[in-house]
Amino acid sequence: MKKVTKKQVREFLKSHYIMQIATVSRKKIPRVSVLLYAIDNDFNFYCATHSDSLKAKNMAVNKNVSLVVWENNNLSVQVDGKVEPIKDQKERLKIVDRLARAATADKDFWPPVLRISGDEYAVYKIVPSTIFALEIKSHSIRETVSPFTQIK
Amino acid sequence: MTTAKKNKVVILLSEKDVFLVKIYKYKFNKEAGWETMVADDPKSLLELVLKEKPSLVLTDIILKNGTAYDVIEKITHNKDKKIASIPIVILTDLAQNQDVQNMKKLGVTEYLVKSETTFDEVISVVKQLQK
Repeated sequence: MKKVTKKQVREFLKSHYIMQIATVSRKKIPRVSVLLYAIDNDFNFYCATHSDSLKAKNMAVNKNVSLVVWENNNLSVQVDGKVEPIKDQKERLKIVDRLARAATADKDFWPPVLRISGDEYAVYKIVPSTIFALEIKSHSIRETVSPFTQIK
Repeated sequence: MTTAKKNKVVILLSEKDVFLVKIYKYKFNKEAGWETMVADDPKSLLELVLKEKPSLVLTDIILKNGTAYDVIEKITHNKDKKIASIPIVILTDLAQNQDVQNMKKLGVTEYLVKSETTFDEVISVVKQLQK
């Protein structure tokens, strides 16, 4: 089994722009959502959502999130981390710009967030605590060692 | 030099949703090669129209710090024929017949309701108006 490199993971995450992210409510009820994201070279993730959305409410009371980005016959990257709301207006606009640029990579993609009424956004940075990558090109029935690579 | 003189399609986009603005900007450029200028309030919308004379104005009615009504009237009734002839396309959430009628009376060229319009249709309308 081939181990996944940090560079591979970074390139994979930069070539994608949609993640599934789990947030947790005050009552400890999880919610998985699909969100646009952008990353920096240190694997910090950036995302935005309507300020009054359930995930925004969840992230206000519980900073812990878990997310995955995957593509069949390529990689699955699982990340646990903590969210930090971004308050600085310049920084927020910069992130919204990056998300918009990413969202327009595919001509046929129209961000679902735009179809939902509202124009107030909460913008976040997600600082990862753990990152695990799984190569999903190999079709062996079972591995003798864990197929996950921790990215440090 | 005004943008109109560059012989290139320049859309003046007025919309308070910052994310929507960025998406329009990148998609207009990528899919149609158009440049975009942005105004998020009525004051800057009017200033940019007068200064830059864009190829077309694409605006919502509800903007930051006010509505587009007065500005649209100042554009469509402008003494400068070049400004008065700039096509104005409304792209808004407001779908009431009265809103449509009010805007038509002011002389807007097209009225599109966001919930009934796709991005491709916006591109198509703008292309028609540039012919």
